[in-house]
Amino acid sequence: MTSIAIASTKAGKALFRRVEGFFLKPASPRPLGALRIGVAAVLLVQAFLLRHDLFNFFASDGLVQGELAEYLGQPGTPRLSWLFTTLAPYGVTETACISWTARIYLVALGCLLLGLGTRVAAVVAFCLHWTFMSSGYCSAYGLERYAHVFLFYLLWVPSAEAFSLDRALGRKTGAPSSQARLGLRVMQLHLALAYFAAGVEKALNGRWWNGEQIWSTLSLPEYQQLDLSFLHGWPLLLMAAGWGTLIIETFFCIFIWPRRTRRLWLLLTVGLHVGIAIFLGLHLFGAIMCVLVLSLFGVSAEPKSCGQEP
Amino acid sequence: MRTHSARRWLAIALAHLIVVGLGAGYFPFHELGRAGDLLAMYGKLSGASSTYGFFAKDMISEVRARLVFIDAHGAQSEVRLGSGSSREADLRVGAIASEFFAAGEDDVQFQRSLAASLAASVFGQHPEAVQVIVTLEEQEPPSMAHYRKGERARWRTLYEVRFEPSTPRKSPEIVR
Repeated sequence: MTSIAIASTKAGKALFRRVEGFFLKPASPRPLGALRIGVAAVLLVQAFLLRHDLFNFFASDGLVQGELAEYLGQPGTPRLSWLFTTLAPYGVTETACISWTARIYLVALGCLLLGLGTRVAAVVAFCLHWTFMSSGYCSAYGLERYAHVFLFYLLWVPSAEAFSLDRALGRKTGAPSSQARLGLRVMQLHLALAYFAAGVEKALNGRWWNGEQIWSTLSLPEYQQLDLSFLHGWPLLLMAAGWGTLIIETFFCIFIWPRRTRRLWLLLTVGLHVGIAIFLGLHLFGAIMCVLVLSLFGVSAEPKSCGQEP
Repeated sequence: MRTHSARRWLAIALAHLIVVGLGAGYFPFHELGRAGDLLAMYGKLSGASSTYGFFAKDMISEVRARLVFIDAHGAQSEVRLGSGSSREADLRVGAIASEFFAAGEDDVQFQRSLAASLAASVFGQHPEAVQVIVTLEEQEPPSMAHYRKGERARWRTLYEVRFEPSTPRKSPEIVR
């Protein structure tokens, strides 16, 4: 074997070990526990806020009715109507079906929040969240998409190992594990990819570069929380806000990893979502994004020390 | 995790992240035939095929649906879509209204189906209604330059349709 071949084999092995270490070095389950609690809490608040509109959004005689709701949904995804059709021969009405499904969903979210029977709670919460999302698909927005993605991850990752009743009851040890590291890395990379895609898509629209997109969005009645019309006299400020958003989102996938820039990027990203929550009224969307960013990148995953690389 | 098992899970995780990357890039899974259909189904199940272009497209206008019902005495009452009890509910109602033109402004038959659905919900909530008028309005905020010149946003009517109880109350037929 030539010296070049030997060197490249060594380099390949070293790279493989680094990749394996990045994905599989045992990690504390604390970030996963924090994520579980945050996602469940946001979805419980959402359920509370939508309690008067359950039938408006999900019943066959609600705002978007019967076949139309089926048509506007994603084909092949679970619907409340399937459940109702299955249970109707046993005398179960649609109202009872929706009410009881919502109650079971709430119990599952409560158990997920507390970390009690966590795996089963995650499965039930994921299935029912997906069912509600698909049944009211045309009224769903970004919050549902992120909740769906991270509830799916909660099916697999050992989130019950930290901050849970399962742990307090001695069913879990809370020991660092490779599963925790792998789950954390996959979710971190997914979030970084999502920000990158969001930043690039925005950058392809020239209105994000000259501040017009932010001006229009702040002016639309649906999102207008405060009268910010005076900003027409501050186009540079709106342009800077547009550029700031593009930079924060596009370069999240780079600057969130090094320890020296992580805190700054966490602060900027959380600031962006708090701003969106305040000025556009997307409170729960802002909340879930802050939960994801802070739990996945702000909570230390190092087994016996704090403030190290998450 | 034992080494073999860990490596197997790592391979699965990397494959999953490839689907995430493809989904974020709007990859047309269905063009890959049966394998693509399976990937698309997995993408829906896991959310891996989600896209993330929130607010990326032009936010140049907003569409709202106004519903007014008329009772037997000719009195008109405006009905609010949804309970209006929370911002979260209002955002969802706004998302429904935005569906009206999601398939293009010329898709009048689909717009009629959606309008009929909203009207049917009003007839359900207000048995005294003898007629429901569904009006779609659009507001396009002026650019900063036009705003400085004094132009202001106004709602303009795009579409209006009336429904009466004789209209079948069953689920609207899909005509798109």
